[in-house]
Amino acid sequence: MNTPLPVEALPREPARAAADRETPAGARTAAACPGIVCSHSISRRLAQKVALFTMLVLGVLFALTWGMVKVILTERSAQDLQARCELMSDVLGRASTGGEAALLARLLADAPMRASTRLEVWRADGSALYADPGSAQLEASAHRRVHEFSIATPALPGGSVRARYTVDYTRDAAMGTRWAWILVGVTLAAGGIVGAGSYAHVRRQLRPLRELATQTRAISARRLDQRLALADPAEELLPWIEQFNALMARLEQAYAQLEAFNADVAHELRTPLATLIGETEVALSRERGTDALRETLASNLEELQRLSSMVSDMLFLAGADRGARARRGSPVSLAELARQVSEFHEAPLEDAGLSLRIDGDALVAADEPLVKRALSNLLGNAVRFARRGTTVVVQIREEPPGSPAPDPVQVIVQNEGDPIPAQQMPRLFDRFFRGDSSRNCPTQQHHGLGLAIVSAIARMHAGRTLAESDAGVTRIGFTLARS
Amino acid sequence: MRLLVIEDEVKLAQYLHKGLTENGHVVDAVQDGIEGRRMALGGEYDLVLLDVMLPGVDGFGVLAAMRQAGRRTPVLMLTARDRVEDRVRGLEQGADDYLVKPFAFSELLARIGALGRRGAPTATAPTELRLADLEIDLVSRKAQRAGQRLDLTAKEFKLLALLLRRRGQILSRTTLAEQVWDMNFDSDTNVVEVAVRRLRAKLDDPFPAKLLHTVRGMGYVLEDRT
Repeated sequence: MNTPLPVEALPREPARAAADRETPAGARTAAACPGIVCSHSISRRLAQKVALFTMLVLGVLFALTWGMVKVILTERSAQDLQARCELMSDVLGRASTGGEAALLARLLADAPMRASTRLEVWRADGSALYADPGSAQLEASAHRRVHEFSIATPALPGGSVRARYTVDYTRDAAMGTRWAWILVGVTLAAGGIVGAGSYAHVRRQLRPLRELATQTRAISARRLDQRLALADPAEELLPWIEQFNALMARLEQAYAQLEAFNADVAHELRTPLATLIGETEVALSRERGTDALRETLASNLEELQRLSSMVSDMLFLAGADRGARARRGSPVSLAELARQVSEFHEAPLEDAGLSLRIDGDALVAADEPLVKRALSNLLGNAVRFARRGTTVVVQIREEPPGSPAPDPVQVIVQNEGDPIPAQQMPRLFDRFFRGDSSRNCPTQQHHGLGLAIVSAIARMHAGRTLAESDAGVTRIGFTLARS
Repeated sequence: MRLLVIEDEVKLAQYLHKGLTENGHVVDAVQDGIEGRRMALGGEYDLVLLDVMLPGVDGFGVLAAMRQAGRRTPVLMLTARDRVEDRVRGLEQGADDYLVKPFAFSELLARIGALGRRGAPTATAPTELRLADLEIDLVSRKAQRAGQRLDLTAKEFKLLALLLRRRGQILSRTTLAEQVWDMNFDSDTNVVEVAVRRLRAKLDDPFPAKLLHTVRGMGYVLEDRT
């Protein structure tokens, strides 16, 4: 016995039609997100982030490397300068044994080897002995390096001469700057390439999402049997697709139920309306006495009362579908409620030659009038179908508190009689379901909502309905949650 | 009783006016909330029948205005919306009773009667009731007709006592289910019919003069029609 889904979950026909009008098919495909302003694109944002991250990592790495290389190079050029000065000091020192003239000759002879550098030598008394011609470029260079040293010249007065050696490292510095720019360029290019690559890749990976959007768009209320499917669904998309399809299944079922219910309502209302219209027309078609007219009015009134009670019951069911909950008061004894309801049914029970027994009890904070109503409907049903001379039993079962059983409290009304055909069991609690015509009640007073109301009352108490029928015993009931 | 009917549905207001006047009430009927509020605050009425959905000011507004002005006139609210919140809201704001459309006219009459009696001093209820040759004793819970003891169940006695206490009034199945069995819902079963039929078998069948009558579509009435 399926508990009918809340009708709430269904799309409202007029609302949907309006939405369809507002977004014609063309407009929907043109805009990336119809109706919603796109704040960002996942692929674009992802690509940007990946590019930025790549650039950051490469930039830091390159900067560190470059800095270290620079330090090493500077150190090495300083060592190199020192080594050259030591070499010169050695060579010139040895040359000076031949006197100042020999030293000068040596200095002049070696001058070509010192291209783009400059050596200056002073005598011990401070007077200039020798200077390379030098160049303006060297003087102006920001990257020149100067090393001062003394040369031991035991043969000359003062025993030593003072020298200053200037070297231009502009080329090394320029090379370093060029490398820095190359690294910056590589970093930017890598960022761009990685960004563009991941954008393209992410877009390709997200293509199934667009595919799903296309499929979803194709689903209309007329074709609720459609489901989403991807040839090779990604792990991340699968739960989404499954949930959507499950939602569609629930929607389809609820929609089908609503459509059937609407048709039933129309049918149920049409019969008494036809009677009313016909009877009134006939009554008015010729002169009639007061008694005849009174008779017609009375008959119409009966019909109208039936309609009215049917509408009240349908409103009650609609309220339950909307999610109305039972108002739970203080705990009541279900056996006591059953006793009161059985007193109400005393006359029909006696009429049908039935006796009644109440087994068990449970104290539940339930909505008293609702539970009485459900019990009354169940008893009315049992009395209608019980075999004469048998006993109708109201069974109240309670699981001990804290027990893991799914149904804490069960209320079942059992009667002996013809079993309900198996194919009717699942529809027993459906609205307007009356079983086959032979089971129809002779008074025509019940309109097939009694058990649907039992089901609604069970749901309002977070319970469900129960039904079984075999070996001439039919048991129909409901469960209640304790709170 | 002097009644004020504030109801914007013309057909309903007309039939209320007609039906209530024929039942001995003096009826003023208005069709919008503003006029209704003026009349309710200005006139002297025993009871106000107040629709909830009204143009101008809704029923709750009229009710609030009345209670703020210190008017204790009983108010019976009529509504098409059978929502518990509405009912609670109406009663909280000081309505005395609440009736959901569509309602049976007999039901409305009974409620009006009950509200009218509420203010009146209750006469000491008689312990013995009689109608024609029917006599019941509410204390010893015995009923007899033409000197013959009627063998009634407890509920049958209660049913008969209610019908006898309100003799001449048509009592609907809903009223009977409510008052005799404390079943406050519209039952789609024929329980009340069967109970009345069984009572009639004991009360009327052995006797030529019938007292318990069915009024088709409305309910039952106990009266001596001879």
